[in-house]
Amino acid sequence: MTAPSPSSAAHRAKYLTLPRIIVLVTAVHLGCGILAWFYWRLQGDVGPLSSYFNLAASPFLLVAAGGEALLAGVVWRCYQRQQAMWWCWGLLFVSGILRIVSYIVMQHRAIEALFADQVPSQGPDLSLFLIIDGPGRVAVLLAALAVVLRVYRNSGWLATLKPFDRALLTIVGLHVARQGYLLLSGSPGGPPADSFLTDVLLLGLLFVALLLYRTASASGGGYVARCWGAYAAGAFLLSLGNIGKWLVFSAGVPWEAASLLNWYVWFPAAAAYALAPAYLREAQFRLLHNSLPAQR
Amino acid sequence: MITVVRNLIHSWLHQDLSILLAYRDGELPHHKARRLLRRLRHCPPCRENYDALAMLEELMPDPEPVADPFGLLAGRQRLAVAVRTGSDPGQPDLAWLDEVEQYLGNRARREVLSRAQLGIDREHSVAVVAPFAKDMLGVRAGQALADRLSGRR
Repeated sequence: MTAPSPSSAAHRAKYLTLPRIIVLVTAVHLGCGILAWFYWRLQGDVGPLSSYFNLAASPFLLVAAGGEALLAGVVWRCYQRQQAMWWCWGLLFVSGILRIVSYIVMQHRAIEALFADQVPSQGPDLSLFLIIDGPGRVAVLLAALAVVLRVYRNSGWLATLKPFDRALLTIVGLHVARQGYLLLSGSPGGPPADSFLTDVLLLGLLFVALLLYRTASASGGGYVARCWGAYAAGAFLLSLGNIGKWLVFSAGVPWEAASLLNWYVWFPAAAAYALAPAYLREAQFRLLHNSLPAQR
Repeated sequence: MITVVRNLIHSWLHQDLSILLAYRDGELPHHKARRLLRRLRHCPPCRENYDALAMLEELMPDPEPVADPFGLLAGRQRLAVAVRTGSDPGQPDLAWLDEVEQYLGNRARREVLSRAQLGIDREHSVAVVAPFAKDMLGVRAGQALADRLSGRR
């Protein structure tokens, strides 16, 4: 057995980076899931789809949430308390922790309920963790990304929204306004208060995500822009997932048609949240250790 | 009327005073500066105008010594020497700017490049993006990037 040559190790280190591994694993995972979905739609056999969601979905989301929290924590340690980004990465670390804790608890309770032969909603009370994973996490994310926008604004690099962004925000805003009207007027079809709070926060998150995406795009690439672009993508996909839910429950879109969006959008969203700190960690590692060649 | 037409033709044929002033102050982009340098060598009226500017400068009293925190004056002086001696200011080595783009993006590269084109040295050109690098990458990594770009590491 021969030891690998230093050049091959450097080559591997250059091309097999953590962000690329995350992108590759997500693409393979998502590809398998979409193949199973098409198999179900074309052949009517639910077996592969069921196996995919039972065996592959939960581990993927769990590992992505763990990676998000771990990497955000590692990046956080590189900032000093007087820096604005210290607060930003601290909040992103908290967001990752909230995600993984609520996810583990919900999975554990769901399995318990499964063995107790009851559906999860009838099992032990999960509402606290649903609030933590829903509006709680969105609020923390929103605060963290608002700090990033402030840093960009102070640098004079903050971009503006495009007409498409404004149109999208107007559509979602009108939906939120309608929900608010239904809630305040006490209509029977009105949403619960916590659901309305999530809608308002998601509208804010969508605004921040679009602004961050435009700002990162205007920066013209680089590790920093890719990091914030990934967070913007994650926030956008999270909003898109909720828009998909509204389409089914409010706009009357058939759930089978919407399932391709509603079932799968969470995987790239989870991967994007892990990918973002991975980009920044990669940049910090290259700069601090100075051992890797420059890479485009 | 004839004078107006003559002045108009003169302005078309020869360089405007504002461009000569910008050149003298080192504020022209590098490619425009090179083009003007060629013109000054081959066009006597433009050369006369530029010499007249230089004479005016000599008649002016010596300015008070000022601080040059960004190396701007040093860059202008280098360009002025190149003009007076007729030497080529040379094409600066800007390969190091690729690293700015790799970490901070094309926009940061353009910011640094615009300063480097004025003849400002690397260290002071990089200073324009160093605070942003420290904000975004953390103090140590941002400083490491600034050091690498300045050629200190």
